[in-house]
Amino acid sequence: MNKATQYILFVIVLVALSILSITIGSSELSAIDILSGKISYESTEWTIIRHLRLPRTLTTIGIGALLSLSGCIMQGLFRNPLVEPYTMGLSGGAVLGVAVTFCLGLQISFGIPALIISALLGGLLTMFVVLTIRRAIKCDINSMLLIGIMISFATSSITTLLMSLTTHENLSQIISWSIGSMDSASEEMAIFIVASALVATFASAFLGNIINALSLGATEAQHIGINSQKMIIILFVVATLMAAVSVAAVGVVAFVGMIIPHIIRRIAGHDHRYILPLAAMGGSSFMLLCDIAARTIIYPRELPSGVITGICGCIMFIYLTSRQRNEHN
Amino acid sequence: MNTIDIQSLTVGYGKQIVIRDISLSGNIGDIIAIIGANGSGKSTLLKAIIGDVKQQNGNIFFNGINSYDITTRQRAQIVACVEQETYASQMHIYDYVMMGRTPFRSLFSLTDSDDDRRIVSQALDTVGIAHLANKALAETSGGERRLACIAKTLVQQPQILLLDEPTANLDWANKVAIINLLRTLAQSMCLVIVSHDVNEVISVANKALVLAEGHSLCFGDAHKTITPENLSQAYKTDICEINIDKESRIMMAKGLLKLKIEN
Amino acid sequence: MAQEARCTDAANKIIERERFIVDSITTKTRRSIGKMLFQVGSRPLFAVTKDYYLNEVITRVGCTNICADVAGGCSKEFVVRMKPDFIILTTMGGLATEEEMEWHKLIKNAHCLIVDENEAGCPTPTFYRKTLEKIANFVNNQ
Repeated sequence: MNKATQYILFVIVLVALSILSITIGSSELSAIDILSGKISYESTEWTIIRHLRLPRTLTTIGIGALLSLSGCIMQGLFRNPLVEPYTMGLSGGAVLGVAVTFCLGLQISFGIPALIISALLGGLLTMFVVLTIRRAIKCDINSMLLIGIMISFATSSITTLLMSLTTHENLSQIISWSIGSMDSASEEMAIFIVASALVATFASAFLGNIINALSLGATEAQHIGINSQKMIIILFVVATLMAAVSVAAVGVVAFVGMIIPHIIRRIAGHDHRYILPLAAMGGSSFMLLCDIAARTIIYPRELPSGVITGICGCIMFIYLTSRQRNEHN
Repeated sequence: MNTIDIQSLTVGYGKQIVIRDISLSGNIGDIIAIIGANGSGKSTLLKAIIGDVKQQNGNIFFNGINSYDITTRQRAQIVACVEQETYASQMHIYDYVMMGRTPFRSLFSLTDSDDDRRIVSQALDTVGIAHLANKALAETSGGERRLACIAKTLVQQPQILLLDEPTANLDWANKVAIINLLRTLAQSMCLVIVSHDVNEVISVANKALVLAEGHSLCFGDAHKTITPENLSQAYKTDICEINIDKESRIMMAKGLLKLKIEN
Repeated sequence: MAQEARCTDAANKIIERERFIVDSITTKTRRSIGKMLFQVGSRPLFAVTKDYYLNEVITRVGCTNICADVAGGCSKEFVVRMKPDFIILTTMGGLATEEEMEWHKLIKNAHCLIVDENEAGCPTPTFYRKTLEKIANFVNNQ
C-alpha cells in the first residue's frame, strides 16, 4: 500500500469513527438526519449532539492526536519503545498539582480552571526540573530518561503523602480526576484542544527530519548537521507541552502515547515526516473507539476512557510484541 | 590553502588534557593515517575535527576558514565521519543513507528531491549495497552496516572524511573491500583514518601522524613517518619491519614473532 | 450517642422537634411535583440513588429520583434524556458553580439549587431537617 493510500484510509477511518461517536449513545441518531437538518434545534437530541457529543468527540480526537504525537516524538528522541509522554514524570507532576490544589482548597475560590492550570503547571514543572538537572550534570539522553523516571517516582510519592493526609472528599476527587475521562469536555475545551492538535500535527510533520536524524543518536545527528543538544531540548519541550495540555484537560489517559506509535511504525515504516501525521490520526481513531466503548458498554453508567485505553493498550502491546518475536524467530 | 589544517591543537575533557600541540595538514587526494597506542588521543583528535569536543587551544581550518566561524550544518557539509558503531535501528538502509543529505536540504523538508535520490542510488552502487536498500539496519551484519555508513558519508559529499577504525571487527573479505573503497574515495576527498592496524594503513596512507601519550611524535610522509623506531617509541615495544617486496612492507611487534630475527 | 453521653432527655427533645418539622413538610408536600437529580459528585457524575438516605429527601418533597436505579455514577447524556425538573447540587468542593452553569446550558427548564455538602452529607436530625427544608422551599417556590 503506498503512502497516499495509507493517508486516505486513515482519514476515512477517522471520519467514520467521528460520525459514529456523534450518532451512538443513549439513542442512536441517524447521521443523515443530523446532516440534513431534520433534527429540531429545540429537541433533546440536538442538545445532546451540540453540547455533549460534539464537544466530546472533538476533545477525544484532539487528545488522541496530542498523546500519539507526543509519544512518537519521545520514542524517536530517546530511541526507546517503552517511552510514552508520562514516562518523564509529566502525569505525576500534573496529579501532584491537582492534589495540591485540592488540599489548599483553591478550587473553592477559582473552580475548575484552578485544576486545569495547576495540572498544566505541575506537568511543566517536572519538565523544567528534568531539563535543569540535565543541564547541571551535563548528562546524555539515556541519563535524561532515567532522571525523568526518578522524578515520576518522586512526584507519585509526594502525591501519595498528600492523599494520606487530606480529607476523604479531597482524596476521592484527586483519584477521580487522575483517571482520564472525556465526560468533562466542554465546547471551549474542545475548540482549544482541537486547535492545539491541528497545530501540533501540522508542525510535527516538519520536525520529522530532525527526529529521523536524532533517532540515529545525538552524536550521529550532530555529524549530519543537526544541533543535537538544542533540538533535543526543543523536541522534549514540544512533546511535553502536547501531553501537558492533554493531562490538564482530561486527566491521565494511559498507553495511547506508547502503543499508537508502535502500530503506526509497523504499518508505515520509520520516516517521521510521514508517520507523525499518521500517528495523530491513528491516536484520534483509537481514542474515539475507546471513548465510544467507555460510554456505551454499561450505559447509563460510564467507564473512564483511561481505563479502556489502558486495558486495550496492554493487550495490543503484548500481541504486537509476541508477533514481532515470532517474526524475528 | 589546505583542505584541512590543524595548528597546535590542544584538546581535553574538563581539566584532563588528552592531546597537546598537534599539527597536521592535508588536501584532496591525501590519506592521512593517525596511529598510536591505546589512550594516545587518536579518537579525541577525530572528535575535535568533527566537532564532538571543543578545542582548548589551537585552531582547525577547513579550506582556510576557522572551525570556530562555521555552524554545525556548515561543518557537516565539509567534514563527514564514518561511525565506529552504527545504531541498529529499524530504519531502511536507503533512508539511512538519505540522512546524509541532511546538511544540504531544508531541515523542515517533507520530501526527497530527485537529485537526492540520484545521489543516494549512486552511493549505494559505489559501495556495492544497492541490493540491501530496503533492508532494515537491524537486519544487516556489522560489515554491511559499516558499508551503509560509508554510503551515508558519500552522499554528504564531504571534502574531508574521518574514519575511526573502519575495518574493526570485520572479516578479511570485508576489510579488503573497505580498503579498496577507501582508495577510490581518496581521489575526491581528504581521508583521515585512525587505526590500530598499522599494516592496514601502511598500504593506503600517503601521510601519517604518530601520537604518543597525547603528543605528536612526527607528521609527514607515511614512508618516512611509519618507521620501526617511531612505532617502537609510540607503542613502547620493539617493532620490526618486514619487507615483502619493493612496494610492500609490514610492521610486527618482535614479541609476537615465533622466529628469532637476526638484526 | 445521647445514651452514651447521658443526655437522652435533651436528645429526645431535639429529635421530636426535628421529626415534627420533617413530618409537617412531608404532609404539606404536593405529590408528583416533578423529576429530580441530586448530584453529589462530578468527574464522574455521581447522583443520589435509592440506596442513599438522601433519596428520602427527594421523595419527601414529592419528586421522583431519576437516578434511583443507576448506581456507580451516570452519564450526562442520560440525565439530559430524563429531563429532570429540579437539579440539586452539593457544593462538591467548589465545583458546583461550573456544574450549575453547565446544567442550565443542557436543560433549559431545569431549576438548580446548590446545598452545602457538609450539611447534606451529615445525617444528623438537625442537618437532615435543614436540607429537607431548603429543598422543599425551593421546590415549592418554582
